[in-house]
Amino acid sequence: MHCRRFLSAPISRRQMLAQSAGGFGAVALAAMLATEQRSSAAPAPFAPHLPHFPARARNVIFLYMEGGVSHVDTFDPKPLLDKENGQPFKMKAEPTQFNNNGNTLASPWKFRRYGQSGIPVSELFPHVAKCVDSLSIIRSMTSGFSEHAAANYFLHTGTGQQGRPSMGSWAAYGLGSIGQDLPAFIVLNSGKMPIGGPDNFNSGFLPATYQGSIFRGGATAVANVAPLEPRPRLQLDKLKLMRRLDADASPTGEDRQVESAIANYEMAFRMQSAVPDVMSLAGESAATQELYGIGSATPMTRAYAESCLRARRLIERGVRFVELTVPVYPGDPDTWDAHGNLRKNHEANSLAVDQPIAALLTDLKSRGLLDETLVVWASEFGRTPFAQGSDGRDHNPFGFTIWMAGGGTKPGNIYGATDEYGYKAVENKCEIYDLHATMLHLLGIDHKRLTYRWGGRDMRLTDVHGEILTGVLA
Amino acid sequence: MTITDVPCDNAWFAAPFAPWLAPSRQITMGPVRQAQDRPDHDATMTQRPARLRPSSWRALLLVGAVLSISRCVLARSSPADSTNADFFETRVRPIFAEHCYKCHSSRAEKLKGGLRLDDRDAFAKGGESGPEIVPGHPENSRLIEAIGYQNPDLQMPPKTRLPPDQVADLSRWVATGAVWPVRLAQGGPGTTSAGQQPRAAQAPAGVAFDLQARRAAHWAWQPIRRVQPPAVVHGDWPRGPIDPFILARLEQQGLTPAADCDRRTIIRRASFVITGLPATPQDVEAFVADDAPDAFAKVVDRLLASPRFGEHWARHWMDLVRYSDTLGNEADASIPNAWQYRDYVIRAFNADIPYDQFVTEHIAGDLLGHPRRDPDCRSNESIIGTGFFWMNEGKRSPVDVRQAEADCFDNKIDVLCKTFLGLTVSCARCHDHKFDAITQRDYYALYGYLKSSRYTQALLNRAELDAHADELSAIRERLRGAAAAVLADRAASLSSYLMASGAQAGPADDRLSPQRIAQWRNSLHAVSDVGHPMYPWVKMASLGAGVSQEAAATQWRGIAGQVTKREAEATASQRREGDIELAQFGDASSGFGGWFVEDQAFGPAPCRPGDFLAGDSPRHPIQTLFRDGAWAHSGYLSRRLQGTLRSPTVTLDHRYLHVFAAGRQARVNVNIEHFVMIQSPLYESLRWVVNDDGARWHTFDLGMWKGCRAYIEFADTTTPDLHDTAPAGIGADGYVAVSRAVLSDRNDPPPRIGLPGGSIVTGIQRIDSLQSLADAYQRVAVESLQALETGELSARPDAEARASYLSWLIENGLLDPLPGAKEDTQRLETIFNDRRDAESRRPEPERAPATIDGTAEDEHVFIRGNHANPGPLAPRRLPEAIAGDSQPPAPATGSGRLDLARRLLDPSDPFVPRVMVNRVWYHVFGRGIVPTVDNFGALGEPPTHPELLDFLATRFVEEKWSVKKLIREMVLSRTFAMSSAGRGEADSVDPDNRLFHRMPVRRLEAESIRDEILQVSGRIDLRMYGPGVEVFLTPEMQAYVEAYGKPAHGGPLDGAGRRSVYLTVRRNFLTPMLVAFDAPPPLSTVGRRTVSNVPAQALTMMNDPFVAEQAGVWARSVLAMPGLSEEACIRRMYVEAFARPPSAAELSDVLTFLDEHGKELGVPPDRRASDPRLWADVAHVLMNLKEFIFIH
Repeated sequence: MHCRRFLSAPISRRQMLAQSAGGFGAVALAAMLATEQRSSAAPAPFAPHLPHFPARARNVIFLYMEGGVSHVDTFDPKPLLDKENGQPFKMKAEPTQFNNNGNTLASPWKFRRYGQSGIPVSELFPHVAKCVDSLSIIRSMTSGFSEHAAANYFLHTGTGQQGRPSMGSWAAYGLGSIGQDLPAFIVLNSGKMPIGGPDNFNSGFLPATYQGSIFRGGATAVANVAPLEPRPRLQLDKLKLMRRLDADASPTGEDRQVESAIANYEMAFRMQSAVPDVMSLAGESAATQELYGIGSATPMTRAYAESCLRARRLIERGVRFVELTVPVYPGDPDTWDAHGNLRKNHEANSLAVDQPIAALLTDLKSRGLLDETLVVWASEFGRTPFAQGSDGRDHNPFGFTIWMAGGGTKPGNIYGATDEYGYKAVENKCEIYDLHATMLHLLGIDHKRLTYRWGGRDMRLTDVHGEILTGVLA
Repeated sequence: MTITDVPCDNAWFAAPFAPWLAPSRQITMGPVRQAQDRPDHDATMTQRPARLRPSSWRALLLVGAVLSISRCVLARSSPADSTNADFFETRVRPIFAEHCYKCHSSRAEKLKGGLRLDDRDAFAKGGESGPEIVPGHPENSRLIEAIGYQNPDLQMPPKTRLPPDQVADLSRWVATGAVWPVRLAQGGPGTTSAGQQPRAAQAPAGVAFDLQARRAAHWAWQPIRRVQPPAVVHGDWPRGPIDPFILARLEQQGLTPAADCDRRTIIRRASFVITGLPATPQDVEAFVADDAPDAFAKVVDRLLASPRFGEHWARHWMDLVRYSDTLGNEADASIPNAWQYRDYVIRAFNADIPYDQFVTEHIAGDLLGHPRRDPDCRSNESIIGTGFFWMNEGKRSPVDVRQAEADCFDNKIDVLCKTFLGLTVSCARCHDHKFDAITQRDYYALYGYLKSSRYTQALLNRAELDAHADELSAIRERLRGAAAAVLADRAASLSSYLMASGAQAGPADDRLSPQRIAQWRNSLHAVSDVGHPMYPWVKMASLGAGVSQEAAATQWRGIAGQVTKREAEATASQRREGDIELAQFGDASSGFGGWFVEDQAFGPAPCRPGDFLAGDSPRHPIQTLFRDGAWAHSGYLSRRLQGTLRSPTVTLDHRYLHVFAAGRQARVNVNIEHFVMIQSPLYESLRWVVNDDGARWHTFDLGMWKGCRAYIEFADTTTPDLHDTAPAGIGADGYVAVSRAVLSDRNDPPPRIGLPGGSIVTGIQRIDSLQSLADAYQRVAVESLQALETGELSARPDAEARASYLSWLIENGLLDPLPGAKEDTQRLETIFNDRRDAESRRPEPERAPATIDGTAEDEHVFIRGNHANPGPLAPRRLPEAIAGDSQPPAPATGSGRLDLARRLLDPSDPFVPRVMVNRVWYHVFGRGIVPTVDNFGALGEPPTHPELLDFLATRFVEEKWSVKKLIREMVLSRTFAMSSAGRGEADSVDPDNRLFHRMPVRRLEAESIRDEILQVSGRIDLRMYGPGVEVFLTPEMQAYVEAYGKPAHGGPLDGAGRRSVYLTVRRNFLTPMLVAFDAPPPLSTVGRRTVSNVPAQALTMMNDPFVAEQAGVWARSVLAMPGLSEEACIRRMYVEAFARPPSAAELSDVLTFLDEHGKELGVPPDRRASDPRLWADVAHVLMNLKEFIFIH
């Protein structure tokens, strides 16, 4: 008996979509809350769902700048800092993480205006600066937390506590996946697992189906995705026997859960080849590789270039939400967290991400993908305009910069403002909830209607908050 | 101050401050010049009312508003104030309309904070936080604070700061009296204000919350009814009292129950349900062959008696209390000894501890008069239960420590109420519950129990260590007598040496030791301070030998005067104005004066002046005597003892804390708002590692935490804090001694002027010669040592001076044995030997995270959940809807948790038994009678069989809360014996199987899958208890940096073969295989796990090295059985994995595989029966079969 369920050849995208639309693939991934959902007649949760209203973005690429990029050194120039450099900081300083506040600290980097929009960008981001006409820059973001772990959880899950569903999980829960041989929410680990750990990407109380799958670089990007058997035939033999014995033991259709578990092996089997395929950059042209910086002499740049290029490949294959962590140079896990030696820290970190990010934007645009792909660049908080010690900056959740591009956002746009020191948001102040509401909105989801009942409440990514930032919509 | 007459209606806001004025005219406090005349707003805003400086403007507002609003608002706007009115209409109202009405008006989609800015009276009343402004006082007005954007917790409008000119206009408006003209069209002024409370302490305005109506409307609040099993048609089907309930409902729907399943199915099912492990082939075959009518009952009893039962059901319980070995968050720090709690739960289930006892121990196990003791080692079991409170996520170095506490307590309340009550009380953190009969006050009433409790690492083998300390204490008493007697003997020649030390020429008596004389001289040479006990001697001796009696008497009077003066100074210096003394051990009539002491080291009371610190040998039997007040000393019996001393909780109204202490390898922590993870950044200054035998002041600068609640903790223990980065310098055999802890606004410690020791002789009537003084000194020494011998010295009123004198003698070696002297030291030798021997036998302290009482405190309701915005006080009690509104108040001391536990378990509370029987039902049958096992509230699902639920709850209580009996009854029911096979018609009538028309097919829990793999392979190691096996670090986990909590060394791939319950649960490094199969993150109560179906599960079973390794182990163990044919091997493996032999088709499929796959692997036919590689693949396939992970 030929085992038709295990296809050794990759199936086409069209086939995949056909399968997932109403077929076996969707059932394979159904999450089952015991048996009581049997009659709920809800569509299988991983199948593509219809959004609440027409979506502007189909996918999200979330460029997570962990550690806290200094906004006053990158996208939010503050001339007053130059003027008062070295003087005692004139605003009242809120409590900080290290309580080692120094004087007002000018940015060591110069800003220039770029593009038709004339938006100023510092010399830390020369490549991204050239794409500035594609960006919608929010200069008035705020967070509720001054500590990394809590702020990371807050940025990812809308709660400053551990264990809630990540925004990628919510997107997957709300929209399902497009392809059926890859998870809907993938995290590309460029080197640094963020503070707070995998719970930044977990599905929390949502079914594990929506959990972020953390991919490393290379062929064994996913845990257990590489077959143990040295030859495919050996695994196929085993799978064939498994199929037969499963059928012997329980007649087809007897129990939906068992059927689903059987079918689940189909997707797992396909992932074994789909993952190495999507992670491999061998098929990318030399020009593309060059554009991203794959050949860079800097290992950090190389690592991030690979992640950015893989992100594009993943969304091309229908992955709904891709998040990138930042690379890390050996021996210094602090990423953007420049408590001291701001200059060295930010130069190293911007060097790592600048070219790859610009390449990603350029590449998406040239392939016509930027319109339907929302790119978000964000830290968990910004940094203080006054020094920590003499040459660092402490955490600042009261006002900082993030930007979005594509996916229905308004290009060449600046939204909101901080005060003249860049300390606190004072114009169009935004909250993380607003960011989430807006991202979901662009995906066609009403954040107030995307709920999951847990612990006696209908939980939302935005809790009881969130307003759509109409000022960044195209 | 300007006083301006203002027409009443325009000044009504000011009325609260002037309730004594005649109703027709009002005086506005503060400047009320026309705003246009006063461009200088800053000056306006900084002036304060001259007549009245309210410390709490809110309180005054409240009083004033009640007194006078109703009268003064009746008047109407007069033309004289039209300018102000115009200002409001042209400058103020437009700002409100543009920026505020969206959330604060009648047209707001949802009124925020209960505040309206479109209605004069509503605005006067204020929102949930009370009135928004104080007319004339922008600096005291919330509204102005909010638009000023200086307070991060209070910024309005929320998104964008108002332009400066608008901020100025609003400030000016408030400064000039906040005139808000009445519009006649509004329906007549003043009609709504009379009698209104200005402040809504209860539900937010506009939300109807009727507790009793909600309580009456929902089933779960109703008492448990005593019901009998219903009558059924098919009376032969029921096997026990449960079955009629199930059958009756089926019959109502015209359904019949499923047929009984076969024996192999039910033993596999029962084995997994009760023990979480598959039945062994021997047990299966024995059961199949047992024809006795009670064959299955015997199986069930055996399974319930197996230690595996406790392991499995403990894991269920651990889901409820979000069990974890670490704190997660940034550093994933350890919760030291968390595993003790896991073991406690396992033991409790195995011993079938009555559930009411188990609940009591969780909530108040530390407060039981007679804690339950482990039958084997006699250690305290009860207190371990309280450890569950501390399994919450722990934030590292929070910038807002009160917020961190509020978040942490929220999680504790959530877990407490879901676990024991099945209620989502934590939904009422910010407002009254949206659906259930739970008020916000109920939430904060529980908060107080946590606030009055503290974290500790409780000593479990306390009885053992108490006995050991008693032994040391007895030895010390023996030493007291022997040492004092020896020293008194040595003091017999004191007078002679004193005289000799003053003589110019050689010794008068050649029997005196020249060395000792020199020692005396040297010691006396250093005496110059008037406070010194020898000061009178030195001064008198300085007069020389030939002095007149008269001159000597004059000198003596002078000396006595000086000493008396110093006495007065010393007494006066004890208190510095404004300082708060936290440690007043000397004033305490007994014990530690309200401080909290744990373990043995500090003893029953502080050491008072005149008490002694033991020396180390017969030569120095006493090290010194306590003086300068009373000392809490953790080394007074032995440095080997451990102990902790904690202060009462105080409010940090002062910036500095000065502590006067000495110690070795000990620490002093200041724990603020229950935050005990003392580490950098931000918190390292809250720890002082004490490593200096000389007592000194240490000053903590607490300026960052002003206004917070805090307590000080002196710890002489190696027990780590609530994280595993124990500070350097802390050791097992240290001590800490403290005499003073002072809160002060001054950064310099209080001066210390000791009582003058010379008073021991200055009070003596006749000193007329040096000899008489020397005699007096000797007499005092001998007397004092005799008093020490009998234990009376420290009770003497002059104990301080005597102690200082004796200490000086001892510390200067003046009471050492004389050179060449022969003493009988045998008795002392024996005592010191006994002491060393006893010290070496100190039992090793065993500890567990636990909860103990601190200072009794209630918490305020936090308005909208914001800790910075406290509302009315919410005294500790159970939710009103459970225990009524007239619960007796919590005790004045301690947390009152024992009371809380008793109220929870009161027969009038229907939740505790119902919730537990429902949990047990869920685990036995795969679905709860109330499917939402953690939520019995309005958003939960109602019970499918309410009568059955009440029947079981009643029975549970009657059967003395025995969980095992409950499970036994369920498993022996006929309902449990039903087949799981699909049934076309019944499945369509009851598609969700809500009526239990058959047994649901269930996937095994993650831990059972892993345990099953280990058992089937034979690798399982059934050792119980102890520290967890470290998690295996997969390549993904290796990528994590160590600073964020990655263990230095990962555990073995197979977890050392231990059951999954013994794997360490690291929040940031959960075992991937368990996570893949839905083991929940330890976040909050998870009574019902998700059952998902994701590729990671298939990938795990197909490709995970652990599964493959175990497949190999299994294959080798089967092949190692002697004389098994291929077919017999297959049969054996089937029984091991599935409790049944393979069918013919299955057998043939595997044989075919052996043939084909053998060829593919290049295994020759004659080696086929024994090739481990080939058979490992068979084993691997069997582990991948669905039957392996599903229970039918």
